[in-house]
Amino acid sequence: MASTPGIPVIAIIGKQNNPIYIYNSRLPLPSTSLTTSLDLHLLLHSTLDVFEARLPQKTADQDFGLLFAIDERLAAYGWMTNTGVKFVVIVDQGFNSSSALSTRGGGLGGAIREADLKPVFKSIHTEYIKLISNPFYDHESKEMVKSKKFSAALEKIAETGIPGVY
Amino acid sequence: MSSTSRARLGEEVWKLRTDKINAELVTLTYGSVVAQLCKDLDGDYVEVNKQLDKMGYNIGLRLIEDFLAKSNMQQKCANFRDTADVISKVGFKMFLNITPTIANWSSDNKQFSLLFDENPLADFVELPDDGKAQSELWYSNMLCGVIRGALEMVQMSVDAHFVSDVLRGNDTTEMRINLIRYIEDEMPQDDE
Repeated sequence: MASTPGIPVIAIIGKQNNPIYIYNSRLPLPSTSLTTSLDLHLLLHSTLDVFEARLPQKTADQDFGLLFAIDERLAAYGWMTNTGVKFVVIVDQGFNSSSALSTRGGGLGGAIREADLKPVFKSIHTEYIKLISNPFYDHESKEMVKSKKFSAALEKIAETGIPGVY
Repeated sequence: MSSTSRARLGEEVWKLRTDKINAELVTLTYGSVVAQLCKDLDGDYVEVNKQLDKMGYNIGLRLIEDFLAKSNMQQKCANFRDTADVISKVGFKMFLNITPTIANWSSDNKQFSLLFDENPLADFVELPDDGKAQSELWYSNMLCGVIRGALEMVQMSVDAHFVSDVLRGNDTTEMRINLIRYIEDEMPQDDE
């Protein structure tokens, strides 16, 4: 049975590791360790270590692939632009299909390939560019982004999920 | 000259006789002008509108010359309806590659609206959420000044202002243009 793995969380993190925007659709996620927004922040903090650890080996490619698996259902994927802005997407493979793991026969992070996330990150990147092209956007601000357009766009990306994955 | 041939003329000038520039560059340049004005004037958006209009006016005074040279308009517009048609189909087409819709003529044929389906100046823009900008700032107000300045150079005194803007949450972006009078003789220019 075909199903689309869901994207419950998209986070944009700035160059200084400051949170720029965190989209989360449905906390608490059932039967996972991710239940409160505090858990989420903690988790996002830990992704930063992975970014930093892998940075020395990176070439110009911006895709960091699977950062780590959180539990049987959730996994965090990362992307960092060459300006140091990081995108983190948390994928819920149990969403919509309890058999997603078994049909693909993969273990953790096996049900979807890293390349599947590329279009998702690409569209996040596009939206981010639109956001910062707004002349009224304050680049020095340490506050989280409140743009309604941007929230709506991210919500749409999250709802679309990862196209073409069973 | 018929309306369709004007559309063709606009298309031709845009294709053959216009130097193009990257759209993002224009958008970002205009955006930083507006944003800087807002900052310098401390969020006095009424004054920002005025300054934008003034800048546009000064652009219009010069741009009309370029417009006449490139478009090779052979004959004068017979009436204000013609003028509106040329502004939309040739003017906006050749400078911004858009063709705003002409609508809402007043019964005396002296007032009309330009409806902007797209506005290259306002791509990416989201007005600041300070409770004032949404009701006071006309982001693209420079366009009003351009039209006012350009028409003044061809003996038409007009008033142009925006009445709605999608950036404010309106359904359309509408500019109202009102012909005040035809300037008969060469008059000393309004020193602005």
